[in-house]
Amino acid sequence: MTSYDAGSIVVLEALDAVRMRPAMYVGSTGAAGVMQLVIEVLQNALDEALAGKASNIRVTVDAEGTWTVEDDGRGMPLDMHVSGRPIPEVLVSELHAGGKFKEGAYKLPGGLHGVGLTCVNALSSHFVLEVRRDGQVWSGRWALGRRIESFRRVGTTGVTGTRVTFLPDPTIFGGERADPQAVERWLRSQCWLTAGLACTLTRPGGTVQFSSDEGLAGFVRWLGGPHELVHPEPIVTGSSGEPQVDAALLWTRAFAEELVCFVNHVHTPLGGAHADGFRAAVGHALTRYARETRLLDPGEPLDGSDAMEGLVAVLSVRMRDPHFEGQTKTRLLDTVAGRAVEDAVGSALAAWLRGHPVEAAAIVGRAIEASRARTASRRASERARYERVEHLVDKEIYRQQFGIRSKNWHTSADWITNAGLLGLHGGSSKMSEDSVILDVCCGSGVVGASFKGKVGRVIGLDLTPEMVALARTRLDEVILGDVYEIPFADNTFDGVCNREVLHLLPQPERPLSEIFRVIKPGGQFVVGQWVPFSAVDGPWMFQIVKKKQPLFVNNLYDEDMRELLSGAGFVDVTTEEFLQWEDIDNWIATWETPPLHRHQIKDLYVHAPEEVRAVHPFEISPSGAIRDCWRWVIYSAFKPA
Amino acid sequence: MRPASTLPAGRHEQPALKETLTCEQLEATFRDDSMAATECSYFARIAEIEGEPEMARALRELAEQHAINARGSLDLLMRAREPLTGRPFGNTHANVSALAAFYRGDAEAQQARSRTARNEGFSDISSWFASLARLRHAHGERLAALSTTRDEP
Repeated sequence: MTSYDAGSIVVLEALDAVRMRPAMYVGSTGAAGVMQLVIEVLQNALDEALAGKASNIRVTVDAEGTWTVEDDGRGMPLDMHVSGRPIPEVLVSELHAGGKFKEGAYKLPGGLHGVGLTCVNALSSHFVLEVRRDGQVWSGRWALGRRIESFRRVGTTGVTGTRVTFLPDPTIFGGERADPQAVERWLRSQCWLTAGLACTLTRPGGTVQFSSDEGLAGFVRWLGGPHELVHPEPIVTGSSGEPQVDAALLWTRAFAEELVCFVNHVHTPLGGAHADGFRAAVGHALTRYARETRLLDPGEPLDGSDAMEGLVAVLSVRMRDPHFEGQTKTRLLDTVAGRAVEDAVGSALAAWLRGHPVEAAAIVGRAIEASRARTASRRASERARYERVEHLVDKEIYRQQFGIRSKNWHTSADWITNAGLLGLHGGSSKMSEDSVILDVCCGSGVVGASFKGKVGRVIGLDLTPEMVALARTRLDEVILGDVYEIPFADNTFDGVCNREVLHLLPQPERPLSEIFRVIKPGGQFVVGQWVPFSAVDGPWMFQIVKKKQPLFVNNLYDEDMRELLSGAGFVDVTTEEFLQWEDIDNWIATWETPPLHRHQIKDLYVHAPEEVRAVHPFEISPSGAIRDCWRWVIYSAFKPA
Repeated sequence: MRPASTLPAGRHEQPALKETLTCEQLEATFRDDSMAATECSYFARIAEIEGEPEMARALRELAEQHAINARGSLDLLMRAREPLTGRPFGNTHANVSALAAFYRGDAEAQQARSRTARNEGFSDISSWFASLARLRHAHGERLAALSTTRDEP
């Protein structure tokens, strides 16, 4: 029997507590956690810039993953703490010690408030702090939070500033690295948010510098850069007071919205009260304008999510004592900020729309277009259901969707052109070099092309004229046709290949029997399909994929695939597995996924049950970007000889 | 049962709740509040996304109330039976046994629903039921394994 008395109570030293439960402090022990360490150090440098005391932040990362962050601010105070130690030493080795708890030193600080630098020290195998202040240079060195060299005076200087160098502890983070591109994006963002700030990032392969006097307008122009714009100039709104609200808005022809929110310069990827207030402001302003100007038919609805479609926006709120969900500040809780944003952005946007009738008509027209497309998409989905009752498939829906998606097919998801995944398809071939194979539902033909050099001739078959045109650039011959009625005689091909289509086809037994029919006796069928990792993540994946792709009808598990293949008559089934990381934000930025569903898909990741997280790997970065690990299985099966 | 004459004046001993209309109505109320709690919190998130924060707040508060109410009905049902399976419940051992029985039975029910949906031409709904059937089965096994571990000396 275990006893629960004073002897069983362990009081951990502050840094031991951080090392024992690192994810509690920095959110993760993966790449996202390393990124959080970098952000914490950067945030301290930024706070000096926001206080008007620094104008340069220099960041370096070397090939081993050691980061150095240097600012030209005041440098940490070099006075002695009441404990008898220099203040900087206390700041990096005691939790909740910092200048941000008292008003005065920093008006609106970011970071983890006294936890950040201490956490970085505790979770680094190598940590050096160097302070330049009052003509002196002081330096100290730590490892795993333990002092190696005491913080002491090491020289003189004519400049001021703080430099932190650290290597995230590989025993905690398993050698995971922070993504330099994410750091670049953070620095770039802060230069737009902070007038007069210049940043430099040096990494193996080069140095990039950022500075801008364009403010938030420059920020949204950069975010909207890749897209066709609905109006040329960003709408910029600002309000002084408490909270202070600044925003810039630019509507594009893209499908997804991109709202980037900050509170006291801290990115809040999961939004919160300020983001909710922003959406309310945009939705109400556009709806009111559309009704006033009769751009919207009487009684026709316009959802807030339609108003947000294609919108690229940056929202910056500055406020005292904000409250966040979680230590890593991903979501703002203060409803007062939401109301301030709704008022400030709503009134400014309404005034701008009235003053710019041509641009306003284009913006509101964009929202109405989104609303009508959403309604049409829902109707199409309903029609598909009725058709299916009669065991028919409405081919027009497939043609419409994949015709539109053909415009950016190869960049719309990583899995489509992933070389490793394609290599496993072609690599499964057991056919002779003079074989003729059919790539059914061939899309752009990349799967069929993966067999080139291994077989003699690859013929493609697809329902969508646009895809047929794409595939003709890769395959020997491509025919417009339907997998439910393959336009070839029995026993025509030495093999058939296919990937990620069976889950979109009602009654997949029918296309499989067609595939079986056109393969010669002894011929091979190679089919790739992502499947859930287990029974536990299946319903969760179903919801994600169904919201992304309304044509999704079969949540196929590995067992289902084997059953389908053997049911169709195939034998000698063998498999190879491939884990592929998909950029979910990119994957859901498509025509067929309405804005509401994009939000709900992200929610499904953010609030994924623990049981699911235990079996299905995925990552959410501090910036909110989601990467999901998909389990692909490539099945090879044969028609009996 | 104690003779009525021994009860304090003006009080009656309550009849057994099980198998009464009141029990059925309590179960219905539990179901309604549970469903309403899920709907309200789901609709609150939609309201947030659609830019209706006031509506979202109201719906979240309603969801909290429904969840509390559902637990209130469940508390009273402890006198009778667990509403998903009709088994006795109240302590962890009985609760887990009841849920394990629910998962076993519901895995089969979901499979049957999957077949119905497929026969009626709803491939996606059929697949949803089939996915849930697998999950129910896994959950049943998980709880059964826990119960076995607990029962081992």
